[in-house]
Amino acid sequence: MPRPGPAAGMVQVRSRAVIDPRGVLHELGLEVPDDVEVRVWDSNAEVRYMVLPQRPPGTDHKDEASLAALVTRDSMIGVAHARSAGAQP
Amino acid sequence: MNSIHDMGGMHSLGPIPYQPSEPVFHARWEASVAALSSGMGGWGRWSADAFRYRMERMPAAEYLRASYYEKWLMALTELSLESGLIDRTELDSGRREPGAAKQTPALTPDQARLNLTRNRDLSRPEPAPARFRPGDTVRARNINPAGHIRLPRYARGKIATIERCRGAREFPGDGSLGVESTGQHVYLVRFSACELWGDAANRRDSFHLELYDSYLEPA
Repeated sequence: MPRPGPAAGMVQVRSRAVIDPRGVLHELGLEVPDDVEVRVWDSNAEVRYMVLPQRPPGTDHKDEASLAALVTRDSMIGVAHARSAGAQP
Repeated sequence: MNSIHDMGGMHSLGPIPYQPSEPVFHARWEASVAALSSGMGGWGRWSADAFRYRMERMPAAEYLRASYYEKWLMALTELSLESGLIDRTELDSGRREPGAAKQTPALTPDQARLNLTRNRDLSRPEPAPARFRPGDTVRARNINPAGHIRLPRYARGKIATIERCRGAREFPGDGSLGVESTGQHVYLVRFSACELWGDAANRRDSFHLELYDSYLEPA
């Protein structure tokens, strides 16, 4: 009995994120160059982590509101970069 | 126990269904299950680990079919029955049995709101000095105990390095079996991707896990 969306993606992510983190990120649209180290944090005790997206280049003089506009859901779950400085939300 | 939830390393569960955006709850009943779980949990009859362990004991095929909040509802229902918060007749009728024991103090809206955001303190006094120090080489033990275990199968028997000591915490294996926990040291340990997944893994990549003292041995 197939079920609609709710967290159905959980098993796919949980099973493969550890054995193929680069492949999973690729499937979600994020290319990680070979020379970039991937550190997988399996949050398996009671310590939880927050994803902090990398600050896009050329945003040194942006205020909080314009920086916030560059942050997306995907960048907060670590599967995408934040929008670049010139991009429209 | 080893259950289907510990699926790290399997290939066969299919492509990731990407959703560009999604609501917090996909249906109203999901919000009710989240609220009920928080409310019923407030009486302290089970720990988070007991809740996890209840879900893990679902038959594997059922576990894979059930959605996230369907698993919650099953665990909440079973734990409420097992702990006597409700009885079978009440579950079937949806009404309180006149003769059933009433939980006290009654849950108030204010308390329910508090339960939603309150985190139980899991830190414990150190039972003994930490066995390991940052830089030590350890092996994750090859163990398959009853109860809830937070050492994934993919890491068992593998060599790692201690990165940090996190202090002593309530031990999940105890709470899941309803036993009072004295606490164990927790360590942040680092495995290389190649140690876990073989030479085909990227040599730069690594894994960080937080492991309880009894999951580890000197290597």
